[in-house]
Amino acid sequence: MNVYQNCWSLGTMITVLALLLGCQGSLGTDTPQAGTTPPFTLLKEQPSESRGVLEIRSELEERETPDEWTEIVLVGRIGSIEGEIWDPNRAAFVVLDESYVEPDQTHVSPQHDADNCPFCRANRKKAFASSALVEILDADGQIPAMHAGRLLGVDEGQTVVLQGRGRIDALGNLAVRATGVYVPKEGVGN
Amino acid sequence: MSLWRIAWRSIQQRALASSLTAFSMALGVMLLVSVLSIHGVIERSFQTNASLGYNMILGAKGGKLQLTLNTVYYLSQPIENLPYDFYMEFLPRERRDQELENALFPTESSRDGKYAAFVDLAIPVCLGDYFGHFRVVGTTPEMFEHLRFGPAGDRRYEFSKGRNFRVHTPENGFFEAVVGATVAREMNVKLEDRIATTHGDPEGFGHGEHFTVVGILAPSGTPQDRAVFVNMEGFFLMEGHAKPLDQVPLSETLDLELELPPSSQLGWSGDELTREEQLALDPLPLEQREVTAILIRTISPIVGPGLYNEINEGPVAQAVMPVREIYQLFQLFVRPAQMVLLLMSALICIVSGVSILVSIYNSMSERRHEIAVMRALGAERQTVMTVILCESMILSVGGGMIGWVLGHALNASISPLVEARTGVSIGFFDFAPGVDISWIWGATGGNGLEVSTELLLIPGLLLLAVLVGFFPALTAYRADVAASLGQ
Repeated sequence: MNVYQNCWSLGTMITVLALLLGCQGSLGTDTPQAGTTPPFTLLKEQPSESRGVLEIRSELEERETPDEWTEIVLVGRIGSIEGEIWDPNRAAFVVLDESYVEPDQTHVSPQHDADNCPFCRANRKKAFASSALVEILDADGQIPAMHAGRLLGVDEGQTVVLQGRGRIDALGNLAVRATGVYVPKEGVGN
Repeated sequence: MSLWRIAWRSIQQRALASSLTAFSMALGVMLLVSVLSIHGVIERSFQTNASLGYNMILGAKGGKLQLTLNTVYYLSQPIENLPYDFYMEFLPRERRDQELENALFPTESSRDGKYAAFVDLAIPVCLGDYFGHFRVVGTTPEMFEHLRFGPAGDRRYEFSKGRNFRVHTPENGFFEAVVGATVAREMNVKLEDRIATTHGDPEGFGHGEHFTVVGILAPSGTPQDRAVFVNMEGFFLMEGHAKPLDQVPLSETLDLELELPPSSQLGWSGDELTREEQLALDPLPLEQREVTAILIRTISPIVGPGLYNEINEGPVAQAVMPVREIYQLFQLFVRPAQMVLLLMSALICIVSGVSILVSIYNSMSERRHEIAVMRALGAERQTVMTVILCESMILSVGGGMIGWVLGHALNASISPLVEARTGVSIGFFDFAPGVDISWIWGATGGNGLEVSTELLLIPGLLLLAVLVGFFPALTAYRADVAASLGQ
């Protein structure tokens, strides 16, 4: 038998065994699965007069009772200022005003404590005004116990139009309960 | 006869020298594996959000790391306390109403707490006392009823003996306790034992009240193994644990007219209370209560940043994301130390590799005749070279395998020590965390392939074997058959 074959076959076997033993599964992002989307939340046509997060927030804050649910049509980009975008267990996610641009953080030292810096806190507060927390409601008015990305077939960075009710909650978030969702075709709003 | 067998026979012929060479490689790999896996297991355990069962800690304003270390690992000292009515802002209407029954001046109407809609779980924690050198944690039964831990956040705290403590029982009143597995073992605590704690320090004043141990936790590999959990209502009733009434607004003129529990009085008597005296105690008034920290699990991770900002903007408390603090601690202090250890272990492996080179190379002069005979019998130059490379691989990989077993055995043997210090246990088969190797075939993002760093040692050792075996193999390749046979 060829000696090189002996050596290399053994080496290959050891390496493959090592890879198989050490394989800890893939670290994939959740891929939205089209086809699982229930029809009740998806709108075929874009609702008219949709407005951005900042505009709706501003209008609600001017009201005497900003914490009362009000009919809205919101357009936003899926993403978050910091932290999670998706609730893994419920159809809830974060959208940003389409005008929001992530600030340049390259000059910030890793040791800088933004929580104790009044300037950073003010900037963060301002940035958070550009975000809205969205919950998708099903026909029974319940939030489906499912990842919204898979439910709607959408992903981070995509623009969505949400029809439903909104209010400013006790934490100052723009909270949205959407009963209808329109997902513009590729390229719209991106 | 296969080339591997020839190489093996050659190793056997020089058994002592070969064993020592393989052993030096084994020591290097043992250190490397040990460093990788111990650090990996601890890092994974520290950084996994789900392993805590909560995603936020609220405490008095001050050091964020101190609050995290104090609340999560029961290390360091508490900063200050939080007002009890702040904790009540996280409770739903029914729970608030129950709490308000203990108020001296119940002025508030029935309502949900301001933040109740955003939290799934709010567990108060009262710290400051010790049992031996272990921390005493005053909390509610929710700590073990609702808190889950583990990488998937699905493990429940289990009891090896007994049950969870209750808020009030006819036989023990408010004074029930549960002890962690390590505490039970080291302090020889058994069910139904009555334990007393010391105030503020392991050597501090002893409290006169005694808690009855109703449960012993099964080992969980978490810091809970090293703590004593007492019912918060009993904790409040211990002498010196009540906020003085002179700090309570509008109470100065009223306190003389109220029947307050002994813990409400100022000063320190240190008197021991009998079981009957303890059973007769009423809950501490709401106005005299404080908590050290609150463990929060928000209803959704997307709510976390908003609540975090709201609390930090306010004047009462600070919120910390424990995982973020732990991660920063790692980045600042632990990772550089790990790199130094890793570098040293890698150097030991390289030195061991060089010793294999020296060992085989030195043997070459003795083996010239043997090689010449092989060649004379028809072996090609490449065959002789391959035998030497095989020998180098057997020594490297064999030594490496022994080192791997020794490394994991070392981990398992020092696991009790690591667990005692950090609350994290390490099993024999706990591998070091993986690294994404998909870049090798050019994959970017998405579906990567993670391989434990320990298992990358195997191709690494093969490569080292080829590198260190190449020089002696080349010498064998070039060996002059006629001259060697003539010797």
